[in-house]
Amino acid sequence: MALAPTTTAPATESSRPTARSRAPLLKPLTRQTLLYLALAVIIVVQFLPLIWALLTSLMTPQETTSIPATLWPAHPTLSSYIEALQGDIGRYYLNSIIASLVSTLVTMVLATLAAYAFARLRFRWKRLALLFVVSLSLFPPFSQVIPLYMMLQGVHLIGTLLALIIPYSVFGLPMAILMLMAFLQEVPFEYEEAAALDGMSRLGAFVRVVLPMIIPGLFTTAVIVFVGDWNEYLFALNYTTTATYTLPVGIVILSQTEFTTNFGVLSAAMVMSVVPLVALILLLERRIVSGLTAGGLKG
Amino acid sequence: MATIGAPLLQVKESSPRGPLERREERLAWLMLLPVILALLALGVYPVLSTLWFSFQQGGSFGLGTTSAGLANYLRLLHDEQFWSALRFSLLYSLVTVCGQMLCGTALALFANRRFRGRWLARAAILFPWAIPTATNSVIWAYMFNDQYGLINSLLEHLGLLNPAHPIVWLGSAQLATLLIYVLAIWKANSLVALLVLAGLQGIPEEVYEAARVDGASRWQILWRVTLPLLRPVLLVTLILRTIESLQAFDLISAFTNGGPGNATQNLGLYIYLQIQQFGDFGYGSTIAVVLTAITLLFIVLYMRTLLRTSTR
Repeated sequence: MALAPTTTAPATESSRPTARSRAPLLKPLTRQTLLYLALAVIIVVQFLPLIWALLTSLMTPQETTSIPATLWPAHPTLSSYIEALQGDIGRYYLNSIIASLVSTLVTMVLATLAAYAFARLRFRWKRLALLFVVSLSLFPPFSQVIPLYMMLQGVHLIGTLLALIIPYSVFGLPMAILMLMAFLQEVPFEYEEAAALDGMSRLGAFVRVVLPMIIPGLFTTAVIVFVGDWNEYLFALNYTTTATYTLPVGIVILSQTEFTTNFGVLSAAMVMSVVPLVALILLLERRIVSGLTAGGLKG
Repeated sequence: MATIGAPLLQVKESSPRGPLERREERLAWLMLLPVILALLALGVYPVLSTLWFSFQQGGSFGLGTTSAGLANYLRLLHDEQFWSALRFSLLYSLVTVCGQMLCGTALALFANRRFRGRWLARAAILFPWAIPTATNSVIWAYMFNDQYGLINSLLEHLGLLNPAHPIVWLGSAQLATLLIYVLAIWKANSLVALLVLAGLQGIPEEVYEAARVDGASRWQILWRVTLPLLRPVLLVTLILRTIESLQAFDLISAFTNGGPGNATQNLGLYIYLQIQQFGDFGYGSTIAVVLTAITLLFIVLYMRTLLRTSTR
C-alpha cells in the first residue's frame, strides 16, 4: 500500500460540504507532527518504568537515596549489576531460567501433540475435549493453589524447582494448544495427502512434513509460553524457599525487606529480568502479535 | 484472519465409520492422552479438592483438618474483611476493565494507521505485557516512593511540590487505590490493544472505501462502521479481561500488599493471607470457592459467546 488512506481522506471530505469533520482544517504536515507527537507520548508512557529502572541501576548508592531523587546518573557505574549477580539475585536468575526453560520445553512437546490431534484428526467429542481444555485455563489459580501445595508437599518437592516445573508445564498447555492449532490450520491439507500417497503414516507425515512447516509458529508459541512462565508469581511465591526463589519472587521479597538500602541492585535485577523479554519483543513483534491473538487467552 | 478462539470455531465433529477412521481416532486420543491426564490431575482434581477443603476447618497448612459442615460459609457472612475484599475486587474489575477497553482500543486504532515507525508503536504497545507484573509493581512502588521516587522528584523539580511536604502516594487509601487502577490499566492495555488490532486487520479496506464514497466523516466511520464491526472482538475481550481482573494478585501484592491497612486488599490477597499467614487452608479454600464461582459465571458467558459466533 503506497498511499496511506489517512492522507487521501481529507481531500474526499472537503469536496463534500455535508460531511462534518475538522480534518481538512489541519494541513497534512500538522497531522504528521501530531501523529509523531502521539507516538512519542505513547513510547514514553509505556517505557517509563523501564527507563527509570535503567537509570537507577546505573546510579551510585548515594544517588539512589538522595532527596530529592537524582534523575540522571552523574557517574554511571555497573557496580549494581555486579553486586546483583554476585549476590542472591544471580541465583534467582538461574532458578528462573531453569524453571522457565524446562517447563516451556515440556509444554511445547505435549501441546504440539494435542494441537495436531485437534487441528487435523477426526474423532468424536472433539469439541467437548477442546472446551474442557479452554475452560480449565480460565479458572483462577487460587482454585488450585492449595491442593497443589499439598500434593507437592506430599512428595517432598516443595523447595525444589520441580515444584514450579510441574505446574508450569501443565498450566501453559491450553494457551499453547490454541496457538499451535491456529498455526497448524494454516498448513494446507494437501501436503499430508501427498505424504500419505508416498506411503508415510499419519504420525510420520506430522513429524516430517507438517512440523517443519510451522517452525516459526512453534518458536512464537514457545516464546509466549516462556514469557508466561518467566513472569509467574503466585505459584512461585507459595512453592519456593529461599534456595529456589525465582526472579520476580526474589525481587519483591528484597524490595519488601531491604527496600531503602538497595535501590540500585534492585533496579539492576529488574532490568536484567526484563531485558531478555524486551529483546525478544523487538525481534519478534509481528509474530508475537499474531500468536497472542490466536491463543487470545491469558495475560 | 485471527480472531480470539478462532481455532475453536473451526473444529468440526465427526464420527468414525470405517476401520481407517477408527485408527485415526485411536491416534488422536493417544496424542491427547498426556494433556488430558495432566489437566485432570493438576487442573481438575485441585479444583474439586479446594471445594472439599472449603468444608474443612482447623489444622495447620491443611494437615489435621476436621469436617466443618457449612461453618466456613457462615463465617463468610459475618467477615467484614471478606466483604471489603470482595467489594474491592469487583470495583477494581469494573474500573480497570473499562479503562483497559478504552485505552486499549484507542491504542489499537492508533497502531492500525499506516505510518513510518509503526513497528515502534506496536513494540511499545506490547511492552507492558512482557514485563513481569510483580517486578513491574516494584518499579512503580519505587517511582511513587514519597522520598526517593521519580514522580515526587519531578513535581519538585517543576516547582509543583514543596520538598518538605512530599505526597505520600501509597500511604493514603484513596491515592493508593487510584494508583492501582492506573497501574492495572497501564499493564493490561496491551492485551486489549492486541486483540482489537487483530480485529481491525480483519475489516476489509472496501468497507471503509464504501463508507467514504457515501460521504461519511472519519468520526462517523469510527462510530458507525469500525466499532460495530469490532463488536464480537470487543465482547470477547471484555469477558476475558473481566475474568483476569477478578483473579488479580501479583500486581497488588507487589505494589501495596493490600495496604495501607486493608484498603487495597482484594479476594486474591485475602486468600493468600489466610493460607500463608494463618495456615488456614479450610477458610482460604472457602474464599477461593467464592472467587471461582464468580469467575465461572464469566467463563460460561465466554463459552456461550464463542459458540454462538461459531454456529452463525
